Amino acid sequence: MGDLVDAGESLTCTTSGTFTAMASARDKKPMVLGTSAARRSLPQLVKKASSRRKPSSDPESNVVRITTRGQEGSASLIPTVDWIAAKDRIEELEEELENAGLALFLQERLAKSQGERLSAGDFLTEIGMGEFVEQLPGS
Amino acid sequence: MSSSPEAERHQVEALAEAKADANELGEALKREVARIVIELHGNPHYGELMGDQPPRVLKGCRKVRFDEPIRRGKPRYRFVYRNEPSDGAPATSVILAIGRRDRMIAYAKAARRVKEQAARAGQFG
Repeated sequence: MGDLVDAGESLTCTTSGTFTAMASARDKKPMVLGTSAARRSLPQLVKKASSRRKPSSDPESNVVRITTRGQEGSASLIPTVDWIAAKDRIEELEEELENAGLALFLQERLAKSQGERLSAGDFLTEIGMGEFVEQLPGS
Repeated sequence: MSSSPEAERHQVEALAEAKADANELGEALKREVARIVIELHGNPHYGELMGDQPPRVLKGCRKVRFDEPIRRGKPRYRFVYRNEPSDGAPATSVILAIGRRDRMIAYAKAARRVKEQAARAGQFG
């Protein structure tokens, strides 16, 4: 049975037959484990990932890649705080992109528009929602 | 719905283009648009303000996220309007655009590509 040693910022995994790659926050290379080593080290890996309270600046820094021999691709074990932070950042960037897109769209629309306007009642009627007109104040 | 004096004096109008946007939607989404219009009549500050950061074209604009009521997940559509005047008590809310969020994102990406291409053409031309 291999053991997992926490060496400062890096995780070092040694097993009886396998010496695996190490993850280092400095060189950003994630730890890579085979499935057997990952299975043996899973409780410690999860314990270590769960102990993180603050997300790292780079979500790759604490990733453990798990690979299967003879197959391309891998699965990744990532601390939940890093995963949530990455998702939040994506949402934030998408929001910025959406607003930028809206701004460009509106700029073009307002430049081309003849400026024709409809009242709320006419708008509702002309989109086939005339039944809502009576809910408008003063109608 | 609020019935404050401010809200009673307030009117809602729509650009003809926004009507065309709404007419592209299905029945359930149109009903949501109608509900937003009714809500907006009572509350000219409905939804979230967009113009607190540049670009300037968004000054005074607000957006409301919406989707089919039965759909789970994040709302995919945006209802965009602008209050006139943008400061003080708004006299009119003008519906400017109604559309899918992902189209807005695609629009921004396309605009960025055009800008990059123009920059490259300027560099090599």
